[in-house]
This record gives sequence, C-alpha cells and structure tokens, in this order.
Amino acid sequence: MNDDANALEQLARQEYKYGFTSDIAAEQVPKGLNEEIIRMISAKKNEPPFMLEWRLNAFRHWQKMKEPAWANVRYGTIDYQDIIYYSAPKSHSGPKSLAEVDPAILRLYQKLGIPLTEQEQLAGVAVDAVLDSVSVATTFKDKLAELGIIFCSFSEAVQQHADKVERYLGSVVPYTDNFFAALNSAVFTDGSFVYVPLGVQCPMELSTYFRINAANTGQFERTLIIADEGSSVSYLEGCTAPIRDENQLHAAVVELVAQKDSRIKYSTVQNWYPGDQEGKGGVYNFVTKRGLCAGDRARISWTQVETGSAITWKYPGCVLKGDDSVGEFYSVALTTHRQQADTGTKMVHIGKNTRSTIVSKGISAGFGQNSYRGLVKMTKSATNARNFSQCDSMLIGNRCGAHTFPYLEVHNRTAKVEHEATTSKIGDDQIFYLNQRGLSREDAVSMIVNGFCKEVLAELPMEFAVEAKKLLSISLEGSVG
Amino acid sequence: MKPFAELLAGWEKKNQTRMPESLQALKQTGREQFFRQGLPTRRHEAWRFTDIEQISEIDWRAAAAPPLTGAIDLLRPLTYWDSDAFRLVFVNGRLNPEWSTRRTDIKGLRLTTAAEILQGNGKAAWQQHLGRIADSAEFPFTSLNTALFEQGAFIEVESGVELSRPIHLYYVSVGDGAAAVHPRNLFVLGPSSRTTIVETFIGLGGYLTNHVSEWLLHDNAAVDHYKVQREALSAFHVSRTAVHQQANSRYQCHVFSFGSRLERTDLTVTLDGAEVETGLDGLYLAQSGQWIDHHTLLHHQQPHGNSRQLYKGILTGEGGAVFNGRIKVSADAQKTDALQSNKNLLLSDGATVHAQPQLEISADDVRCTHGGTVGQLDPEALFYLQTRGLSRKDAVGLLVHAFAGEIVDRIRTPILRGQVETWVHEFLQRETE
Repeated sequence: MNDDANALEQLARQEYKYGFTSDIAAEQVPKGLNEEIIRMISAKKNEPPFMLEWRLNAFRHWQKMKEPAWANVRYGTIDYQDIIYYSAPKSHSGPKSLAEVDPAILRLYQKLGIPLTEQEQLAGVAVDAVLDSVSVATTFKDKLAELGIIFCSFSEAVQQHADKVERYLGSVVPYTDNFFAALNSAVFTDGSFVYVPLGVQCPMELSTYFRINAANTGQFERTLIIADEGSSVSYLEGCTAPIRDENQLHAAVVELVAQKDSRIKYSTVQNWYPGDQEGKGGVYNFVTKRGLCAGDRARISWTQVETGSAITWKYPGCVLKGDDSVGEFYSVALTTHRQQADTGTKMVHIGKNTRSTIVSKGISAGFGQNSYRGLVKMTKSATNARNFSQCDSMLIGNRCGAHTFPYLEVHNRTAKVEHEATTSKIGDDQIFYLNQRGLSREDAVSMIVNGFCKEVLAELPMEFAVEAKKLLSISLEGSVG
Repeated sequence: MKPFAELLAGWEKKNQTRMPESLQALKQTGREQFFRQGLPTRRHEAWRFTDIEQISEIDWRAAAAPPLTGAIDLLRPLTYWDSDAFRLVFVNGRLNPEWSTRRTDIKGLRLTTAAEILQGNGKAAWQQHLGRIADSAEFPFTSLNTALFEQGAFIEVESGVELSRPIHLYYVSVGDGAAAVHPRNLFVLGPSSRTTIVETFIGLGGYLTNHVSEWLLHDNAAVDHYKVQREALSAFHVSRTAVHQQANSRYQCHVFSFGSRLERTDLTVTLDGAEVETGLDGLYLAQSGQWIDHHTLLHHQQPHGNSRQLYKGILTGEGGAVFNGRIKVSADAQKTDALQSNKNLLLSDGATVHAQPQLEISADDVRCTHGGTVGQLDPEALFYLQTRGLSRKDAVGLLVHAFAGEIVDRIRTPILRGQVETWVHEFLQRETE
C-alpha cells in the first residue's frame, strides 16, 4: 500500500513534458478588446466587408452576455481587456514552401515531434500548422486540389472562397450561441477551412496542429469543415503548449456541416499545458464544437482524447437534422494535478430514425476534477430515434473527483434513450493478478487504463491512436507504483 | 405584490406571546430568508424544467376550515383508512381530533403537534432538530414553510422500540383556488427503533400544499416511509423530505405521485454514519395537465454506505415529468455502494420526460452506477402477447403493470399495496382507452 501512496505522489508530481517556449518575433496588436481592435484585426487580415460586419455584430452581442457559471469548474476571473487578441509571427510573409518557413518554427515542431517535413509523407498527413494565430505552412495542398478538396487556413479561405465562408460561417454555431462562441466570432484570427466536393472521398487524414506560443495571447481559432453530398473526410486536431505562469485563454469554435450521405470524422488530441502541481498557469480551454447533419444519412463522429489544459469546457455536439443521420461521440478525458474538465456532448435529434452513440471515459488522479455533462434531446419530430450513452469514470487516489451530469430530454414516445454510468477504481486484485504474471505495477496500470479506454482509442485514426496511447501512459507514469 | 407577502405579514401580526423564543427566532429567520430568496424561476438550475409561474401568480391565503363532510368522503374510500392504526388527520392544516386516533397507550411513542409547540406546550426534542435537518439555503419553499407552518406532527420513537403498526398521517385539503397549507413534521427515531410511517395527501379543488418533513434516524434505527400523493388534479404539491441518518440506520422510502397538476418534491438524504442503508423507490404517473418533478439528493459522507434508488414513471397524454437524482460521495465515504436507476415509459406522443441522473464522486474506492432510460413499450413484446390471444389493450395493461410492479411489489404493508395497485389499474383503464 505504501508503494501505492508513493506512486500516487509521483503521479501528482508529474511535470508537463512539452513545456518550452521558442523565441519567434511576434507582431501584436495592443492589449484589450474594443471595436477598434476588431477593425484592426479585420484590416490586418484584409477581410471583405461581410466579415467585419459579422465580427462587430458578434462583439456587440458579446458585450450583452454574461460569462457562464454553471460548469463544474473553478477559476479566477478572466480580464478580457488584459489579452492580446492578435499575434502573428513576424517572419510571416506567405511562405510558399517549407524552405521559406522560419527555421525556429521548424525546430519547434521537431521538438514536438510533428511530422512536418519528411515525416509528413511517411505519416501520410497533410499538416496545416497553426502557430499562434496565422497558418504558417500548408502541405499536400496540391494533391488535394486535384480532387477539388479545399484545405487551407481560414484567412486564405476568406480571401479565395468568400462565397463558401459567407454561406456557412455561423450556420452551425451562430455568434449568439454562447459567451465564448460570441467572443471567438468577434476576434478569431485564423483556423482551418475544409471543403470536400460532391462525392469525393478524401484520400488522406487532414491534420492541424495548434500551438499557443506568444505570452498573453489568447487563441481564437475557427474551424469550418463542409462535406458536400456523398463525400467523406477525416480530420485530426492535436495540441501542445509551452509552460506559462499566466493562464491563457483559448476559445475556439469548430463548425461541421455534413450534407446528404456524407461523413465527417473529427479527432482531437488535446495536450495543452495543464498548470503546475499547485494549478498555477495552464490553459483555459473553452471550446464550442458542433456538427450539423444537414442531409439524410449524414454521419458525424467526434473522437477526443483530452489530457491537457487547466480547465476544459467543451461539448462537441451533433444536430441530427437529416433523416437516418448518425452522431457519435467518443471521449477520453484525463485530469491530474489540479486540472478540471467539464466535458461531454450534445446530441439533438430532429430527423426520423436518427441514431447517436456516446462513449465517455473519464480518468481522475491527483486533485483532478472530471465531469461529464451531456444532453440528449429527442424533439417531437424525432420518430424512432435512438440513443445509447455510456459514461465510465475511473478514480486514482482519493482527492480527485468524478462527476456525471446527463440531461435526457424526450418529447417523442417512439424515441429510445438509454444512459449508463459507472465509477470504479483500479482494483488491488487486478494489480495483483498482473503482478503475479510478471508485469510491473506501472505496466499493469498502463494496461488497465488502456483497456478502460480501448473503446474510444479504437475510434482514432491509427497514427493518432499511437500518439494518444503514448500520451496516456506518459500522463499516468508512476500513477500506481 | 410579492407572492406570500400578505400571508407572511399576517403571521407577524398574530399573537405570539406564548410561542417559545427560539421558535419565534426560527420563524423570523425563515421569513427573512424567503424574502431574500424569493420564489425560484426557470433561470435557477434546479428549477429549469418546472415552471412555477402559476404558483407565483396566485394571491395565496391561509386555508379556511372546510365543510367536514367533503373531507371524510375523500378518506373513507381509502382501503387502509380503517385499519386499526395510530393516525392523525389534518384538514386544511388543522388537526381533526374526531378522526384522529391519538393513542397514549403505545409505549415509547411520543407525539406533540406543531400547534401545541407554537402554544408553548410539549416537551419533544424539537428544539434540537427543528430546522436543522432541512436546510433551507437552496430551498425557498422550505424557508416559506418554516415561516408559516402552524400544524404538523412531531413524533419521537424511543430507543429500542418496535412499532408493530404503521403511523398514518393524513393531509386532507379542500380548496377554493387560493388556499395554502404548510404542514411541518419532525420525526426523531431513537437508536434501534423500528417504525413505519405513511403520509397520505389527498384533496379537492384548488390549493397549495407546501410540506416539509424532517427525519432523524439514530444509530441502528430503521424506518419504512411511504409518501402517497393523491392531491386534487387542480392542486399544487410542493414537498421537501430531509433525512439525516446515523450509523447503521436504515431508511427505506416509497414515494407515489398520482395527483396534483404540479408536483415538486425534493428528497434529500444525508448518510452521516458508517454502514448506513438507504433505499428510495418512486413511482409517478402523469396524464395531460400534470407535471411531476422529483429531485433527490443522496449525500454519502461516511464509509460503507449502501444506497439503492429506483424511480419509475408512466406518462400519458400531454403529461410531463422531471427526474433529477444526485448522488454525492465525499472523500471520506470509501467503500460506498450506490445504485441509481430511472426508467420512464411514454405511452403517448405528447408526453415529455427530463431525466438527469447525476453522480458527484470524490472518493476512489466506491462502486457507483446510475442509469436512465426513456422509451415506449417494446412492440415485439406487445405483438407476442397479441399472438397469445390478448387484446391490444390487455397486452398494454399487462406490460405496464409489470413495469409498475417492480415498485408496487416492494410495498410491505399489504393493505396499502392493494390500494396502490388499484390506483395504477384505474389510471391505466382510463388512460389506455
């Protein structure tokens, strides 16, 4: 038992392995938020008038909103006037190829193990790397362009595909949606844009690495993915961030539009700086992610592995509007130290015969607080809709918490909703069994946790699954000695 | 005009010369707290799905004494009414001595009425416990009850006493649309005592019942608590049951919601002792014009606690229901074993359910599971029964009875079980036409 105690302490003392900063000169706007700043951001990005108008509307709406307080997380007050809302690496002058990219940036990615150069081909990944707020390098674009797939930074999309941006921006997450979505709509600087045309199956995994860099810079990413009729696309998002003493705010918005018979798979590995042992520093991750199954038989699948951030506030959801459409949510959330996560999903069933599956695995260690909060709503029109939810929690140590707050709202009698949740810990007998088979305690724990998360990890694309497994075992190293 | 303001002002003017000072202070606190809190709205998370605007719009008055014939006509048909029991009958908030059988020959049972205490009589242990078990910080209706209660039963069961027969409490209300009653009970169950208590709410016309019961279970005490809500369909029923359990005690609750246009019940149990057992059973039936809201909170504070919770709902017409069950496990409550389940059956297109089974766990060595389901009858099961020669209606009836049976069968008093079965049957006959 003493070993256990030691091991728990070790886990609690685990340091963030990706903490470092790189010195890249950044071009910034002054601190604070007002209409001037928004005009400045819009002008710097050379945006068409509809964008500026949309941003200003969002800002005006945001000013009338209150910061939400219902989530099961505690944090200090955020001073929205103490944030720099725009920061672009100075070296940025529209690099055409990797050769033009600042070597410091490339080294940074190498340190993170991002396959941006040779490795990218080996990994078969097209990377749209977002360093702070402007896309620095976009690869594989030509190959995708042949198929008519648009995969570019948001700023580029605003310039070159303004019609599509105007049509779809805010169509799933309007700026009135919530406090952080409104803030994002007003000040977002960049992000990714994907359009997959009619009937095209995207031949490779599309990937973006987000990374927060310059101090005091909030990250406001905006991702918009549109899958036209009969198409399919798989998108990967992964994040790491360097050590900071001040809390960094991240309020991203992701919108997915799936037309008739299309399929979008969105996978995330989130490993931002979670703060030190006392919970100092760390990223505030307040994200709005939503997918719309606009047409019949459309399918959206969210998979997430959340191991980082001091605070996570994130509910990737699906609006199942088309008949026979399908929504899926697979999540692993790990909280250690003083991390707090309030995450889950929203499945809104509107169409007939719509189906949704929710599998959520929460692991809490140290002083971590892990909450699942999910909404399953069957509207009156959702005839024969079906939902199954499963939320399992695992506790490591007795100072952490695992909470489950499902909301089931049913307005149609033919709809069937099931929710199950369990809470458990790693049993002494399980450890003992694996020990006597010759496995060290550490390997045993890693094995049990991996088994616990297997259902979710299996949903990740292979390259990501490997990374996610590694991330989990690194985060849990020494957790039960 | 703020709701209830007139009622509360009226109370202040009443002659309080004989009321013990501590009670005056308690009521004053309740009044102040209620004014601070006001009535909840849908902007409060705990009241998100239940709109009590209709309650706040009515200018509530203290219920007047009704003609007694109406009241007795409601009670007599109850199959368990005449069972030779210890019973107290409150009609519109007043104790009716004629119908009550307040026996003094039962050893180890002490009864005081709230009215006697307000008059400065009675030696019950109320001072130690009243208002301490049902915290009112987040419960405005509890504050309101504290400020306004005039009647109720304060019952003490002495150490080691086993009562062979149930204690029945009847709350009968006959209202004119603006009559409010605020019954208040306190049950102090001594170490190793065994008790069965049945609370029955029944009525006619429009009125508001705002009921609060506080329960203290000493070490090793065991109680079976039945709460039968069969209010008039034009009445509001707001209720709070707060239970404090000490080591090795066993609290088994059976809640039945059949009546009222709007019910909101908050059942909060604190498991403050090792090896405590708690069982909560609930059955709610809602037809058009009914909205039934059950909130439960089980707070495991000590190790080796065991809780079992099963709430089932049957909804027809435009009926609606809310179930919000919270299980909280403190860091000290290791080896807790908590099970919670909520199952809802929708029999019509217009019915609505909001189910929120919630877990908040801060101890690692626990077994906690919860589940929630909402659905209609299995079409294959229906088809099967029809192939066996049952009419569709009978097949539905059989399946729904089986669904409700899981709760009904656990009623330990046969005469009460028979009555509940009849009510479920009547409801089905009416609603599956």
